[in-house]
Order: sequence, then C-alpha cells, then structure tokens
Amino acid sequence: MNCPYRILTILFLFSISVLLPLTAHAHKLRIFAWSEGDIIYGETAFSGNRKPKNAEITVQDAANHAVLLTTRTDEQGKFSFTMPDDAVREHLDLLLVVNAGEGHRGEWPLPAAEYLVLNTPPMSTGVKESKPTAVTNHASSPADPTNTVLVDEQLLRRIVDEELEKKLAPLRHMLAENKDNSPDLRDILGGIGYILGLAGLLAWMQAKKQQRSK
Amino acid sequence: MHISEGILSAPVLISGGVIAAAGTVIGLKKVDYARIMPTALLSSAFFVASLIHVPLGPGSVHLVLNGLLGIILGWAGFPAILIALFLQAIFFQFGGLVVLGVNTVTMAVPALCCYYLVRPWLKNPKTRPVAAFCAGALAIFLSSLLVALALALSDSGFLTTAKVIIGANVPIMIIEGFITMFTVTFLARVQPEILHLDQP
Repeated sequence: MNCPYRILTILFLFSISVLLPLTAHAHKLRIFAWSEGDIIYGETAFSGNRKPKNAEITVQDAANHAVLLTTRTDEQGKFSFTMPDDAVREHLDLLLVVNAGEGHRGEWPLPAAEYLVLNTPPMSTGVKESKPTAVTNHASSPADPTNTVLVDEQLLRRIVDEELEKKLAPLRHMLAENKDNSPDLRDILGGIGYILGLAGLLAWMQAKKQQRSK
Repeated sequence: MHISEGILSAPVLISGGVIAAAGTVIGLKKVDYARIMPTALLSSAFFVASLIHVPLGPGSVHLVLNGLLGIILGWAGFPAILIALFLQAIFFQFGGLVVLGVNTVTMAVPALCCYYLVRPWLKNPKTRPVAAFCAGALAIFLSSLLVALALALSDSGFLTTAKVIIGANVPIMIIEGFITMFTVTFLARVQPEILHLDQP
C-alpha cells in the first residue's frame, strides 16, 4: 500500500523542483501608481509580467467609492491622468482600481497625503513662470524688499521640491513595485505543509473513529 | 482563472459558497483512510500548479490540473480544491476569501464532470490516453464556461466573456490535456492502484 504513495510523492517532489525556478510568476493583477506633480502615473501587470492592454482604470474616492474618472492602460499596461480638481480641493483619498476583464481586478490606494504635498506648487509651469504668481499672491507691492526675500525663499523651496521629486520619482516607483510581494519558496512550502498537516489530521480522526467502532 | 474579490455580486458569491460547502461535505465523506494521502498530494499539486505560467495567449494563463485531480479523486476533489484555493488566497493573494466558494465551484465541478464522463474510458488501455487528454482539456473548458457564467450573472454579457475566457485558455487546454495524458498513462503503467480503476 505504501508504494503508490511513494511514487506519487516522487512525482510530486519532482514537479516541485521543476517549478521552483518559475515561482516568480504568479496569477494576480497588480497595479501601482505614484505622483509627479499634478499627474499620476501608474503601471499594471499580471504577476507573470504580462501587461494588460486597454484595461479599464477607475479612479475612485476611497471613502464612498464614487467614480471620479476612468481611463485605460496603453500597450505597455501603463496609464496616467491629471489629478481631478475636486480631489485636490477636497483632499480626497483615492483608490485606483484596474479591471482587465475575465475576473482580474487589482486595487491601489493613493492617500491624499501622497499626492498633495507635491501637488501644491504647479510643477509643469517651471520656475520663470511661477515667479509672478508668487509675487501677486504674497506681496502687496513687488517693490517691497522684505517681500522679495519671501518670494526667493518660496522659489527656492519650489526648486528644491521639484528637484527632489525628480530624484525621488524612480525611488517611489521602485517602492511601489516592491510592495507587491510575489510568492516565494516559503509561501509554497508553507502551503504544502498545511495540506499535509490537514491530511494528517484527517487520518488521525479516521483512525480514532475506526478504533472506536472496533 | 481565479476571480478576484470585488467583482461578483452577492447572490453569486452566496450560491457559490453553498454549492462549494455541499460538495466539500460529500467529498469529505468519500475520503476514506486509503485516499487521504492521494487527496492531499493532488491538493498540493493543484496549489503549486497555479504558479506555472504559460507564456501564450492574450491573457494570463497558468496550469490548473483540475482534470487530473477530478479523474483521480472524484468527489474528494471538492475538499482538495477548496483547501488549495484557500491557501493560494492566503499565501499568494490569488482570488480571495470572499470568492473562495465561487472559485471552488468553477474548478471542482468540472473536475467532477470529468470523473463521471471520462473515467469509464480510462479502464480500457486503448482509450486511456485519449480519455485522459480529454479530461485535462474538458476540465479547463468547463471551468472557463463557469467563470464566464459567474461573471455574466454579476455584470457583463455571457457570450462575449465566455468567448474571451475560452479563447485565452485554449493553449492551456491543450497543455493540460497532454499533462493529464502522460500522468495517467504513467500511473496506469507503474501504479494502477492510485487510479482505483477496479472500483466503479
């Protein structure tokens, strides 16, 4: 009676050893997004690194799931959209949802804190253009020397922010990408261990039942 | 072919859960002392199979092995698949706990169909390879249909969804057909007891 199981076990262990190099592949639709200025960039992928093309992205208010806008992924599974004004004004926490059909769906939360900090200065307008707006906003008269200092400080802040953001963008991208942990050996062996443990439990219960009936 | 959380409507989820629970109870009754280990091993195989991706087709397809599981285990496929899917949901975040019932049904019902439809043909060594191939392919086909049905009952049209899913899974049907064929003929030659061919 032992022999068939031994063969099954060997078959099974063999198949596992063949599979292990492949374990980075998984079946899940992941999505991640990061902000650069007032534009949100995002990427989607099945964990086997296949890209869902033309998949629907819905941007929702995380609190009540009201849809703020929808967009679609391009050929590389990437997408981008400009922050909706409402969201910026009301500091909404966002939830990005990707739906690639066939029951594949992924979510990525994007809290207000993550995009608002960098969003306040209009990044795309650049340094030169932003100067006059700052002046009109914060100085009653442009000739006032104390206010010029203030403007310079703000300008400096903005430049630093902009530069930092440029340097941080790839880092954020990497962090976002790594948040998704694909299954590793530990998960697989853990799962198999569970199954064998359950089998042992079942065997023990049946053995007890047999003993009792004798 | 795992359906993610947040897609299906509540009635589909609940009926899926009820069917899966009923199947599991029947299945557990059928698992006698001698069948515990084969059930556990095939459950483990199913658990790991979903990590093997086939780089073909437009979508993301992976091995399922529910045909093989079905013809060997029959009703015991229900608990085997339920446990494997539960662990996949926990460890790999495939599917999810809320959709566990539906996912179990879409995998285990085709497995059971294979058991009843194909198993009679396994006894004859001549028809065995073809029958095993059919079991592997048929299980995936039926699973695709059930997934499409579950999605259709919740939202989009059945026919288009079914076409897309079946289309995406054609390569996997063929591959599973061959895997099931080789495994079954190998087992029949080396250790026919595993297949329980003497039993009805």
